[in-house]
Amino acid sequence: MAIVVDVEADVARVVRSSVTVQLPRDAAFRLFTERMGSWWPLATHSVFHAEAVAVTIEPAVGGRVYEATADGRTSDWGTVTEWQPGERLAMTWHPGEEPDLATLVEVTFSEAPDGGTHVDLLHTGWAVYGAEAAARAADYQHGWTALLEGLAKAG
Amino acid sequence: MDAVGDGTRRAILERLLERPAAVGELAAGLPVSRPAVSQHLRVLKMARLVTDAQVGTRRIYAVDPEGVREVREYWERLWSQALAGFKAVADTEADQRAGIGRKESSDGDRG
Repeated sequence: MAIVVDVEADVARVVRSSVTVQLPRDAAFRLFTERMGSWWPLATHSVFHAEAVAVTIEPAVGGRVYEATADGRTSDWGTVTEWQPGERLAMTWHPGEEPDLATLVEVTFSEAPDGGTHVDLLHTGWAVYGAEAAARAADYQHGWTALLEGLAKAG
Repeated sequence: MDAVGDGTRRAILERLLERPAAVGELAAGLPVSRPAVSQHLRVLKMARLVTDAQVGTRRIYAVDPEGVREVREYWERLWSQALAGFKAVADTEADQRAGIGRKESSDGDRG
């Protein structure tokens, strides 16, 4: 598959990240969605940090995306907006923030030439989110550094 | 939320991400007063998300590319780290599957 070069004017406001794994497409999609807690850096990028034990993506449009602790506390990260098992997932994304600061994450799974799976992730909406979060932080006299520290903790 | 609610600030940022503008231009398209827009711009400037420059008799506001770049780099680092973690777990699982496959074919019905 040819690499598509993004020439949108607002390319600076789009983050793309991709990886190729050895698992077949369906298995890669299941690992990504059913066991996110096994691969996400929960200790550093979660609301509950060391206490966070799992991330759940409810498998349907409208499903909750949330992290949980062993004793049942939860924190919402987003809501599923597209659900095509084995192919594509999209969700609003606002870990550690209220839903009105939601950004959008889209993930597509395609077959790699060698039998593995190519996972392509697109994250948008964070420019305005970042602006808003930074503005809120500034409101509380904490400034930009505090925002980035907060993002690093809540990420 | 309130008269200086978050939706307004977000709308201002969305407009400035499209193109630079003066306070009057921003206020004309929003259901808030010009002083309210100015107040939001002050907050955004303090957060290093917006810059301003005097152009003739007008003060023009624009998104600060440095601020946007910092947020962008944060997310790039995070997704890169997260997908590397995903790959590590996925490839380990793929290796285990391949190992089981080899074991089953060589061990016959013992497994």
